[in-house]
Amino acid sequence: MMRFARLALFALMWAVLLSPEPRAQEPRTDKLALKAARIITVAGEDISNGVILVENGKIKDVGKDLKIPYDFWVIDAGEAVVFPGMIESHTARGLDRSNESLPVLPFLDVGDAIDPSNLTFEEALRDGITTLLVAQGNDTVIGGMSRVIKPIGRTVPEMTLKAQAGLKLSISPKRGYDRMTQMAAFRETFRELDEYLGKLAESKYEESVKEKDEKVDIPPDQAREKGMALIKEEDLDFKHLNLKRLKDGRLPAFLYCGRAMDVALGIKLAEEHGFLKRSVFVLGNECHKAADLIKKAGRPVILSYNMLYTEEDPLTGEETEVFVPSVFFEKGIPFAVTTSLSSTMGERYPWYQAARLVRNGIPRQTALESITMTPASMLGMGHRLGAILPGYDATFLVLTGDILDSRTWVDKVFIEGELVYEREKDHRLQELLLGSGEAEEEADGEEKQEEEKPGDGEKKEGEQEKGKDKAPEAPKDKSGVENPGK
Amino acid sequence: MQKMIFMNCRTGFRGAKYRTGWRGAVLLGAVLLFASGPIAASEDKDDLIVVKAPLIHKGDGQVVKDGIIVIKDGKIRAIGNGLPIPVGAREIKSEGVVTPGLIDAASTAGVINTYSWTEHSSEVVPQMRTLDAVDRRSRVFERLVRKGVTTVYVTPGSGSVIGSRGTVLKTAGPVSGRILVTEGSVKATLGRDTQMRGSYNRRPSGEVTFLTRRPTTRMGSTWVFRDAFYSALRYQEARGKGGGQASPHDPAMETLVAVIAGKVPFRIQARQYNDIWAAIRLCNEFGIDFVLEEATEAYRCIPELKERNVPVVYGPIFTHARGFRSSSGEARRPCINTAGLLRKAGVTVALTAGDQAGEGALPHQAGYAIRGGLPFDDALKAVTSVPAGILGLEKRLGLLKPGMDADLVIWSGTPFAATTQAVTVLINGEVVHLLGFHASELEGNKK
Repeated sequence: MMRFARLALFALMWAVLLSPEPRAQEPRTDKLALKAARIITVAGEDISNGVILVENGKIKDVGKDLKIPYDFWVIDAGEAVVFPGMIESHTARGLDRSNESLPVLPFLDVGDAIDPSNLTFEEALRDGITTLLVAQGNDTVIGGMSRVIKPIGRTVPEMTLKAQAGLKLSISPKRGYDRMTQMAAFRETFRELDEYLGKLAESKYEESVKEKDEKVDIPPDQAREKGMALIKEEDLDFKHLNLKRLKDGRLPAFLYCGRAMDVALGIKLAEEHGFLKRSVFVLGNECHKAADLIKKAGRPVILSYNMLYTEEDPLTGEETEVFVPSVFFEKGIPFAVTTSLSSTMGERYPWYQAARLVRNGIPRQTALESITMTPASMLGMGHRLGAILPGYDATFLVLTGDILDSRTWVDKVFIEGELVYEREKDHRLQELLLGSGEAEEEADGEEKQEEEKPGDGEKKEGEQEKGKDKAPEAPKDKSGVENPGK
Repeated sequence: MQKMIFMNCRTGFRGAKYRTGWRGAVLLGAVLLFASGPIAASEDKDDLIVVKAPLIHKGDGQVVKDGIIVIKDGKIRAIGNGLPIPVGAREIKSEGVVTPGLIDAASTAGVINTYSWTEHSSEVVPQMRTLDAVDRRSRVFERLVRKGVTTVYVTPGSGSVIGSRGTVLKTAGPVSGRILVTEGSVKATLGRDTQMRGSYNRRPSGEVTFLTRRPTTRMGSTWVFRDAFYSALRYQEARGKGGGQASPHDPAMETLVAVIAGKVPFRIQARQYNDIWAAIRLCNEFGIDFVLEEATEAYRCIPELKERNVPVVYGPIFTHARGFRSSSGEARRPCINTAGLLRKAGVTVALTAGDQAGEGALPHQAGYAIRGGLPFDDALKAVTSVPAGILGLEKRLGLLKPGMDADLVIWSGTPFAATTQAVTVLINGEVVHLLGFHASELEGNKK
């Protein structure tokens, strides 16, 4: 009898295993209702025990007592906290190399250098970053075109949210340059642009006159003026096209200023060439000394990850520290904070950076905005990202606790209504937390290979599968049991 | 010829050739016991201070709510709630949380920027003192104080297989009175650090050849280690038999003999699991108790560490190694819950920030450990009472109880949270950090 029961159970198991993939549990991401104990909307008050309704990748509604339509897939996140996806406002993440060696490169596009399979994007999801502005590094004069991306997708177009997100300019000298060379390079670039456009305009005007079988009867400068309106975008190469769009105020500019002295130069340059209104200043720590200039220019800033300006008095030797974001906060300048992958822990995470702001006396709301709404508007995505509001992208995080609590983990990530990250399926995180899994298995694998010398391919695949099966159950403490050495 | 090369290699490893030059000059190595430096008592003998706070963590897991701490002559006299406030006491009121001052049991404060605390003239330099290399007026100490770190063990450089002896210092107060331990544990290093050569890591003059250079493999490092201790045993035997005439006084050997005898504490820096195993194996060979330092892969050796009862000074915590850790290639398998796993298995674990400053400083390390899974109480112990015990200073430091040094930190909120910072720091009952004030403005730093 027992045997029969066991057989039956076995048969049932196989039946389940062999049946077509169970579709019932597959998330229906087009219509989604997420319930959570707390929703931090950032745009307004927190909502306790709220619901977010998502349809077609957009937030349909958010509130406390919403009626959930019958055809919505309901996720009850229980005690979880929901927070908008965090935004990294300036980074070279995912670029194979962040700098070109040539100085003036407005015809480049970082989209060509983004590696979608780079692990940094997986890390971004794990850390709750859902939007990144990928820009060229600071070692440039006029760098390539930046791009706003999501950390998901198999190709760069799939990842892209906004392809023409702005040009990168560096006021601080490029390697091998001094400031005079740097500014001369700017002047020469814009002079050459004017000359090029002037010649083009002149010939355009001449063409148009010749088409009408008339003779050119006005002086060249007037012809240029008239011809300027005849220039179409397709007449220009990428270099002049992007520069012209920058000058016409149709492209955002990200101006990197490493030193305080660069700020005035940057503002002057942007003013002269008509792109100040579209400029975002990417600042080094010393630039807090030029905060008044930036305030007067009325531009937002992106701050360096380490936030702390340390200066030693050359005469007394006394060391003073300035918490840079506080300076901008006190002057009422909108600022975003960034992360750094060259740091080992805290500074890698945007939530940690926001927590540092709170630590240093900046109000919580401003701190939260500096990793969500403020960068969103800087990237021209303020109408879609950075808050949990009706009509916005359904891009948000499900957290295990408050966003600024260092014990909190990102549990789920939704990007445009799609569930793209689940902590329980994050094998690498399990590895980082438990120190078991792969490390032990690989050690075992190595030993086996030495002993048995198995054929390469099959064995490895099999082991990987074994690893995959095991990993979700990994939260057992294996370390006390296994001992590869003995 | 072959034999000669071998001999040269051997002396090169041991560095005996260069050590001879030092013998006359270095007389310090003979001091074997801890020498506790004097801590200057505060000038006002009857200076009474009372710290009031809504929450006080004593450091042993106990808390006092709405309590006071009475401090006299730099020592804690009483702690509790409902205690009478002594007449004439200076009150430090706070809305924050109080913990004992943090102790980093493997810091590089005061030496990391000098690059002069790894002695390269020999692979075996236990007669030397890290204290001599410490810049005690380094700004690093001020930064540590701002982070709530009140005591550091300055760990010897990891370039030598058997390195020098560490030192324990307070991070503020009168510079002359900061030394707690002049000659602390001897530190040995297993792994790549002893094999890597930078530009500063050369012989004083002449070519670096394969005859003179350091060990290049784990085999070499292990050999230097064993050779040193066997030499010490032979030295001890010879001295025992024939006195000074049979074998001239050798401070390095004297120190190692004291290590074997358990009179001088010993620690080993090892990152990879195989180096940790080697450490255990080598110390078993010579019957030495040791403290494991850095221990990046300690999570892979938990049964061994537990069986051998090895205390671990673990840290820094990272997910991605940077700098020399990255280039050592020994930090490729990090685990952010190592402290939690060690603690769960019953291994004694202290946390260290090592060379990390800023957001990698000790309170943040505790925060990361908590994030990884270490309970708060254990994290607090791991930066206070546990390192105090490892440094042999448990009677003075690491807990808030009567008789202990009045080293304490008042935090703006929950200690180690990312949103919290140290508001006030007291060392020996003197305020050495107060948020919003420059260190030089505080009385505690003026002496």
